[in-house]
Order: sequence, then C-alpha cells, then structure tokens
Amino acid sequence: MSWSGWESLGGQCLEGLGSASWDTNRLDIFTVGTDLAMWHRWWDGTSWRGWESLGGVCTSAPAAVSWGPNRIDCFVVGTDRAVWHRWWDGTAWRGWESLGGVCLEGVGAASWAANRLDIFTIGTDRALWHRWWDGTSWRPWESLGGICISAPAAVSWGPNRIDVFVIGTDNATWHRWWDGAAWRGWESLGGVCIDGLGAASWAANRLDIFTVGTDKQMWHRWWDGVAWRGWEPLGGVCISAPSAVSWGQDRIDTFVIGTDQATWHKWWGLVPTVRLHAKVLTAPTVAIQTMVDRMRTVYATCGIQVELASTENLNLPALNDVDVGQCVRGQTTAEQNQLFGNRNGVGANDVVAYFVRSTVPPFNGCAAHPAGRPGAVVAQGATQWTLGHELGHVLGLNHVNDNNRLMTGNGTGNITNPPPDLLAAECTVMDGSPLTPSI
Amino acid sequence: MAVTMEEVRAELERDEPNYARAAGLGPDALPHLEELARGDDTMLATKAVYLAGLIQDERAKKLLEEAASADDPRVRVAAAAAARNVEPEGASEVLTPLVADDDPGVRKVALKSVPPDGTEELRRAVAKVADEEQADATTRRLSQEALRRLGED
Repeated sequence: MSWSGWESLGGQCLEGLGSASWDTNRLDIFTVGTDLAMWHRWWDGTSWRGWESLGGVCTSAPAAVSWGPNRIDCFVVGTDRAVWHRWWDGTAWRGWESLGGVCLEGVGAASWAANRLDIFTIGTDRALWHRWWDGTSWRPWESLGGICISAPAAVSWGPNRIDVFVIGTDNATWHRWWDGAAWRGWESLGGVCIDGLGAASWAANRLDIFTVGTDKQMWHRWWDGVAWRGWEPLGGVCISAPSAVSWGQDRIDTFVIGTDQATWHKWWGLVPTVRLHAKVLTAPTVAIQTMVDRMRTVYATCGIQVELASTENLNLPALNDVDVGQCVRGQTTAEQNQLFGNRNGVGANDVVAYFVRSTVPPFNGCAAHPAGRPGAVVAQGATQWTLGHELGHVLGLNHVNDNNRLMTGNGTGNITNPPPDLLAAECTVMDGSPLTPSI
Repeated sequence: MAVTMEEVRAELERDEPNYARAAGLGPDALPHLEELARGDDTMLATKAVYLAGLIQDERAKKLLEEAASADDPRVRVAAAAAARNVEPEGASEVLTPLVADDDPGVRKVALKSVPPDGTEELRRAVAKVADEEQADATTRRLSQEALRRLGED
C-alpha cells in the first residue's frame, strides 16, 4: 500500500469538498461551483463521470455520507445560515430540505447504521452542535461544547460510534467521540492547521484525519487502534480543507481544492508500481534522481507509481561501453546478457536500469533485455526523459511519431510542451504489464 | 539532392537511431557529420562518428581517424565501433592506436573490431598489447582473440 500522486479532477470550485462512497470502488464527490450551486462528480469503478449540477445556493463546502448501497446524503449551509439537505435515494435526487440551525462554519456528517445520520456544525457561540436522523425523524440540535474555528469532520467506524474533529482556537485538531454510551473528549491531537479537516475510517478502531498545514500541504494523522500516529506530510498546495472517505479495507481517498481551483485527488491503497533499481557503471550527465522524477511525473498521469527501490554502483569496466547490437526487442548480445545478469537479488518483476558510459552502437538507451531480466541500459549522455522512455518500451510501449509524447521515436531531446504525454491506450498497456504490480 | 543538417539531426537525435536507414543519406551527409563530430554534444558526436563509418567514402575514413584521437573516450569508442563497417585497410588505420588506448572501454571495443584481414601494422599493435604483462584479463583475452582472427595462433 502506498500513497498515489495527485490527480486533477478539474472543476471550478468556490468552496471545499465533500465525499462519500456507497460501495467498493465507488466514489461521489461534491463541491460548490462559481454559481454557488452544489456540483457532483463520481467514480463508477471505471472512470470519473460528471460534473453535474445539483442546484442550491451554498455558502459552505458540502458534507456527504452514505448509509448503504445506492444512498448518499449531502449537507451544506445555505444563505440563511441553516443546514440544507439533499439526498440520492437510489433513483433520483430528493430535496432540498432545511434542517435549521444558525451556522458559523460548514457541516460534517457521519452514519453508523442504515437509516441513521449524524450531522455537526458550528453555532454562533462557536460550540459544536449536533443533530441526527434516528430512522424516523430529525432530533433537535444539541450542543457538544468546545470553541471551534473550522467546520467539523465526522466519521463512523461501526455501529453506535462517531468521531468528530474540529480545529480549536490554538489551531490544533481537537477530537470528540460518541462511544455508544456518552460523548467523550475533548482531546487535542496537536498540529497547526490553517484550514479544516477531513476524516475517514477503513476498519473498526481505525481513524485517518487530514488537514492543511501552514505550508499549505496536506497533513495526515491516524489512529491505528492503539495510538495516534503522525503527523505525516502528503504534499500538494491546498486552498481548502481536505475531504476523505474509505470504500474498504486499506483504502482512503482524499480530495482538496488546488490553487487552480480544480479538485485534486490522492489515495492510499494498492497502486500499480514500477519498482526500479538503478545500477550505475557511469553516472549520467542528467542526475539519476532527475530522470526518476521526470519518469514519475509522466507515469503518474497513468496512475502508475515509480519506486526507486535501490541504487548500486557496479565496477564493470568491460561492460561500461556495452554492445547492444541492433537493439531489437527480444534480441540481446553476449555483453547485454552478462550485464543484465547483475540483478543482485532484484525481484523477478522489478526493473533494472543500467547506467553505462555508452552503448555500441551509440544510443541514448536501449530497452532490449534478456528474457526474465527486465530492464534497460541508459547512456551517460541520455536526456532527462530517456529513462522513462526506455522503461516505457520495457513495459510494452512502441515508438510514436509525436514529439509531445514520451514514446516519440524522434528523440526525447526534441519533446515539446513537457512533460510529455502518455495516451490512455498506452496507460492500459503499462497497467497490464506484470512489471507494474499493485503494491 | 543535397542533404541538410536538419535531416541529419532528425536521424541522429533519436534515442535509438536507425543507422541502416540513416546511412541512406549518403556521402552528402558527411560535412554535417563532421560538424556534429566536432561539436559540444558528445551524444550526437558519437552517433555522427558511428554513422560516418557506414558511409563508404574517403572523407568518412578521415573523420574516423580524427575521432580516434578525440579527447572524449566515448567518441573514441564510437570510432572503434564504426571501424567494423569500414574496409580492412581503413579500419586498421583507425584501430591501430585504439587497441592500445589507455581507456579500457576504448581498448575493448577496438580489439573486438579487429578485422580478420587487418594490416600488418595493426597485427603488430595487437601483438604488443597481448604481450604486455600489466594488461588486464579482458584485454589479454580480447587481444588473443584478435590475433587468432588475424591468423596468428
């Protein structure tokens, strides 16, 4: 399991985001557009759909929750500062209905059972306020105290359990929870938060919370059943509170608004990954780390992660100018066989890049490799894109006649409009390679 | 029709040039190859030198001889590799200094490029390398193999 890169989901977002999931491999996200309406986009297991407008006039980020299959409940603050509710009942969007209240901040929502909803907001007294749907009716607002400067985030890990998080006046994250008998807390979870919070849970007794630090990147803290861990930085440049949701074990999806006002998505889970090992006979002119970074940038557009698993120096002067013959896939020279024999414990589905002084004849790199020893050679004078290009061949890609694409056959030094593109069909080929296992 | 520098660069700027196709540019490409071989871009220089070897022309031979004395060992490696595509007498002139090059990579490629019908001068240079007590194992093996190709047991 690992964190993916950031993926843009587009949109022109005026406020933050809400997210929900009503099934494995299903995501629904909500934001407020420049027209103040609530907008909806969803991952149907195959691709992102939307955006679609759900109307309304919203003055806060939406909160969203699902209590079961094909059910979504959304909450926003309206221009009258009351909480407004809209829901998907499996057939159509219903509402809006007003749930009253006088809100200073946005809304948080959780559900711990079918036909159960718990919503939270910040009142004019800056206390946390709670209202809930018990399956029959909405119960009155109750105060849970505190002095809060952000919208609440709420999540449930199981029946009769709710965890709520807000930012306090000290800019730390504060936590209160319902344990089935009473409200517990407050407890401080520290941090220096400049925006609100997102919360998710992928298992009983597991909590993951997210916020934005003073450096504008997303930060993560988690309860592992024993103790709070983190904070860990997750990068990004965020202008909204994160939203977080889990569709199942070991999976978290987070969403924030970036400086371009688009929605950005980052997830924890199984990620197709190229495990790359660098074996260095001669250090290239463009630093290996730079080449790997460029490769990461391009491969991330396919949702493929690049892990530089190891770097090893090899003292093999007889192979430093390696004979690669015609450099044809499936055909290797004795010198290539000898060089690629130096895997030194690398896994069968891991890829090795051998950085050599030159090839004979002179190429920037060559992806031909012996069967069962996937990898490529990269010459000292290679470009910043050569590594990603050659390993693209190793993953099954062919040359194209387009200098805006990584696999251009016209020379990666001639790439225009960097970073170069990988087309969806190329991503499919790479994703299908045994050399991009999900880890 | 005259070959332009753009056409030559278009072939050689590829990550993996198709040298057989590029050789179709013919002798008109040689002035451009000379310019690239003497330029600051070592990657392009090595490709230009190698391509020159595929163009059977006296001017190409001179370019390889010049490359054989280049400061950058990668260019000398390219000259040694290019010699495989040159007629034996021309190849021998390029390879004679390179089989005894200080750089082990240049030496390796040069020794592997020694043609069966190389000149007597090349044979003597290879024999001298084979006799050197301080030669590394790879050089000794490759020089002995080269001598066998030259007809000397």
